[in-house]
Amino acid sequence: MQSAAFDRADLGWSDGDKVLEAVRKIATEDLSPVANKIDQEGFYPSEIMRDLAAAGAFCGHLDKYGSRYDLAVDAMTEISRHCGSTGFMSWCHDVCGLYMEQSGNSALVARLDDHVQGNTLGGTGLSNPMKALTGIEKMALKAVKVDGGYVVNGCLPWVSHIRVGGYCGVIAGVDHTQDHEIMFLLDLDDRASLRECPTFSGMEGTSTWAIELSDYFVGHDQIIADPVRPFLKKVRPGFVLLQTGFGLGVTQGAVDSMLEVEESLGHVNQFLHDRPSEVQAELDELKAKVHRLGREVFGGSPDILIDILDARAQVSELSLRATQSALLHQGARGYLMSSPVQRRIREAHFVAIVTPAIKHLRWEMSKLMKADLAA
Amino acid sequence: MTQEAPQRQLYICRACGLIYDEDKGDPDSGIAPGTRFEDIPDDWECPLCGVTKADFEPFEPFVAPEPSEAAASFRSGVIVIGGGIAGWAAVRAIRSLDSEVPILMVTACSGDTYHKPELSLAIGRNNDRRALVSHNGREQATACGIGILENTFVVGIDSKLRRVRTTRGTYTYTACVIASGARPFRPPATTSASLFNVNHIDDWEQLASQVDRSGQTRAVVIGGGLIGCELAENLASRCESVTVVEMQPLPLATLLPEKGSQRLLTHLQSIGVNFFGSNKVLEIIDTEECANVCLESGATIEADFIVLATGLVADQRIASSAGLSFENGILVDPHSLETNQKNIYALGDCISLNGHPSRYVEPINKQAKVIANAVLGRAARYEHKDPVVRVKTPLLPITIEGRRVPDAPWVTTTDTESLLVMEQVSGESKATVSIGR
Repeated sequence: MQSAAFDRADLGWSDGDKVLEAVRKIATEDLSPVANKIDQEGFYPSEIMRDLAAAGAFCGHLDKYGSRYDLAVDAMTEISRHCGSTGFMSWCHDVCGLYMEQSGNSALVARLDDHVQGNTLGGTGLSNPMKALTGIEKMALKAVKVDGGYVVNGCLPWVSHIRVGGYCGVIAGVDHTQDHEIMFLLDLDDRASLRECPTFSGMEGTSTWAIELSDYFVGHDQIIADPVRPFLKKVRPGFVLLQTGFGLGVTQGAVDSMLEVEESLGHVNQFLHDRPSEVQAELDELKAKVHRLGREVFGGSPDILIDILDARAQVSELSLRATQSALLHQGARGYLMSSPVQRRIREAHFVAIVTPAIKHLRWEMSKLMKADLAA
Repeated sequence: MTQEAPQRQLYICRACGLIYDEDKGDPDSGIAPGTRFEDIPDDWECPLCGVTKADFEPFEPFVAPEPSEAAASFRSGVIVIGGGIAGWAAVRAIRSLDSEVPILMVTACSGDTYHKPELSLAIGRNNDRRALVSHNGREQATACGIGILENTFVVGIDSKLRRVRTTRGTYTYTACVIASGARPFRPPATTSASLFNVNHIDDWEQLASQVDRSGQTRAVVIGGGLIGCELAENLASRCESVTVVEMQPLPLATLLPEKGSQRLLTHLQSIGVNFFGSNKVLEIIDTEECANVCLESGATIEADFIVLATGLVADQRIASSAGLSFENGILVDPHSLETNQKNIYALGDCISLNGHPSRYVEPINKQAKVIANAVLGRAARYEHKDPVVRVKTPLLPITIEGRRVPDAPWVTTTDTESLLVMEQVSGESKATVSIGR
């Protein structure tokens, strides 16, 4: 079944090792040199994103390409190792593809090839609804049912990896109901307005905008899910698990930086906590766990979501420790504004804060385990 | 006659978290101090992130509970998982030997201490929570000089890095003591809004308030074992009807000889308990008035509340995350009570000795002492002895001593109207049951 799909696609993505090799090459040769420009000047590396897509970086987790979550995570890790912003955009692009494929909406599935191959780029605006549905905040977009679809109003403050002509998956609450939402692919044409966000301390190059919708019509061709909750239940484990690739890569980059100065500074660095070998061992174990969870992501086991949330929290905690340690390892040279180690401190904070943040993960695990106890 | 000034209200920006305080206004944007939120023009923008007035919502400040001081300063030491009888027994045993070693208790509940076996009796006595709780968890922790994380779940243990991951952060241990207990086993198809259990004081409290609240009190107890029989007798005095559904033909059949079970059955029936033996619950249908409990035999019983007493199972999540051997409970060495992972010990309802759980209170203090010695590097050895089981059926007290061998014959030594004593001798093991007084 899988090989037939690969033959049909015929993009040379069936060999995971080859995909990773190509991704690694682009990340080291093209991405690494502009990482600072992305971080400091807000340069949006759309061309590099296209090249990464063509290399197969964003196909792994999709059913059509064999549901290889490990490949998708590893590709994201290789990218994030050199540039956290681009790693984060990879996640945005990955989950947008996930929504399109899992929607089962033929109009959206028809757009999937262009998406995976990087001919078009799209992100995700689920931070607010994810928090809204678990009770942390309120739904920002409101939809009203009309003939042939819905009309949506509201403002989504920060959505990354989007621009005019692009698209992203979003959710809106329907009317005044408590439990009906729709999810749709929001095409960012002239019906939607993008407003600039304030300057960020990291992630400047992620093309992050505020989206304002005023009577935006959503037709059937754009619907990802209606109702939303069963759909989210299905994609949520994959959504969260994929994020680990971003944090694993930032951590790997931190280890790289520690090793870089080992010969020259090892005589004093030996007195530090979280040495590269320790972090690497923890990282490898965590990666193996993520790979295992990737094989069970659609298994439907009740414990799988808690395990994935736990792994995601572990990645956040590890990347915070690792990047902090890398800065201490590099010392004065790491304090230069052009140094990757200080950039990674901010990237790791983003790993720990982007939805679901460490605190949200713990809140959610607590909720799930309490419910489990009552069951 | 003066109208009360309206309460000052705060509004929060959903996008960036900026708080608009009516007392302060937003003078930079020309909004004077004291301007009510509804009087702000609609084109006003959030001074921090620029979203509009519509993206603000009323804000009620949340006050988080203060963490325990000793928990906040805990860096590494003994971590005790569970705040029930076993968890506190471990804490006290360690503290009796060493007043210094840092201890952190992680508990899914408040850690309030109470004597769990009393719960069955308390339902008949119409007690409330205050009558049962001897110490508040936080106070107890302060008295013992330990840190406590209440309402906190353990998500996993990393036995290699000696870390416990919880829903309030990750902590490092020198020794870890698992006292996480066991939870009610729920047979398939038993779901209902009227379903309760008495495995924890919080669960008991829900049942107790349901019994108090209900105009009608028709109770169904699923399971006619130890807890089921205790509950049936204790509920009988407070309920219009009590029905016990049990898979075995007779009550308490795994612990008593047939003649003993028969006597217990006669007693339960004499106080008005209906017993449906050799039976199973097929499904429970909730209606607006009550729950209909449908049995395999075809009978349907109307219930205002249902109590689950079908035994306990230990949760496997923590064990599997730490790579602990598990067989009907966390497998521990029968003498050291250490698991197959170094420096991780377990006691109480969550363990099994050679695959056999022993979910009684009596052995817990002995287990705690052995573990306390072990975590402090001293020698100690646990010898398991089957505890004396006292069934809390005050109208017909039952005591079971020794290990009963299935199918071995029983001898009746006393048989009067009010007392039945039977003995079983089989090889080296001896068992005695005493029913009545």
